[in-house]
Amino acid sequence: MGLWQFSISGGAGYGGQITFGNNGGQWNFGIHLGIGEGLSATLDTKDSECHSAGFEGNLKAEGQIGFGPNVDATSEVGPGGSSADVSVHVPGTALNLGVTDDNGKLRGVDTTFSFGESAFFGVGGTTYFAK
Amino acid sequence: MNNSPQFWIILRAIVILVASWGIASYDVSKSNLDWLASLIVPIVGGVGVYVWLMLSEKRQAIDWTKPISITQPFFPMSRYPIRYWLVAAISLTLGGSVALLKEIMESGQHPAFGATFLFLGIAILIAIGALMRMRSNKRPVST
Repeated sequence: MGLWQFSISGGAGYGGQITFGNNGGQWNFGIHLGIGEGLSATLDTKDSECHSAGFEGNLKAEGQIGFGPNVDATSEVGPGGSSADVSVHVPGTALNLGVTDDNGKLRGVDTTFSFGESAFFGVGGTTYFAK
Repeated sequence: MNNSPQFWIILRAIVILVASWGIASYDVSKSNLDWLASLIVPIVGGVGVYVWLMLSEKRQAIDWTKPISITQPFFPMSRYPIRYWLVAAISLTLGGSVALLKEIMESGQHPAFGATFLFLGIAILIAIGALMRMRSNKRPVST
């Protein structure tokens, strides 16, 4: 069973974001289109919650900068809530220095693998498939 | 920003070593990347990098010179995208290779973790190669 999510965001004036993954055995695929600058790709190997099957549309504003598993900063805003995280991971250790603010709730950070830098604002949605 | 060639050589080496070490030393028991991920993620990642580089080709602010130089700046990405993604691709390829070899030699439980990063690095290298080839084909022949 895969538990992962891959996202690629960016643009050169017009922009877009594609995200897909398999979490808890449930596949999802999302696409957002709008305006964007730069390019970033993120692979998150941790599990996310399952959603009820169907389409969820939303607006999304996101900024991302990262280099590998070591440095990551993300900010995301949408009608469903907002999240932001800043983290530095010390290679060779399980040490993550940073914090995630998820709808006002602070928690520790998980390691994500991200490369590139991007800013994006767009509209779209994610389809969650039935298990 | 420091423009000395030594600075950029050392910074490249540090970034590649730290990023690849971070991938290779990741606790793979926390990962559930599977073989399907190791196939799909590199394809989408490679195509994404290629499309973005192609769309950015006419931008005046981008420095396309000396794409494979190790002495020239590679940061910020928005100004030196090919050099930046080359460093990222080498980090991914190196880190993924070491993680995959470690898994093969040790438990062999999570080989898809290293393979995903290795294939993603290779896909980005192919994307950069394809773009450089396209650019060199477009270059007008001097008489």
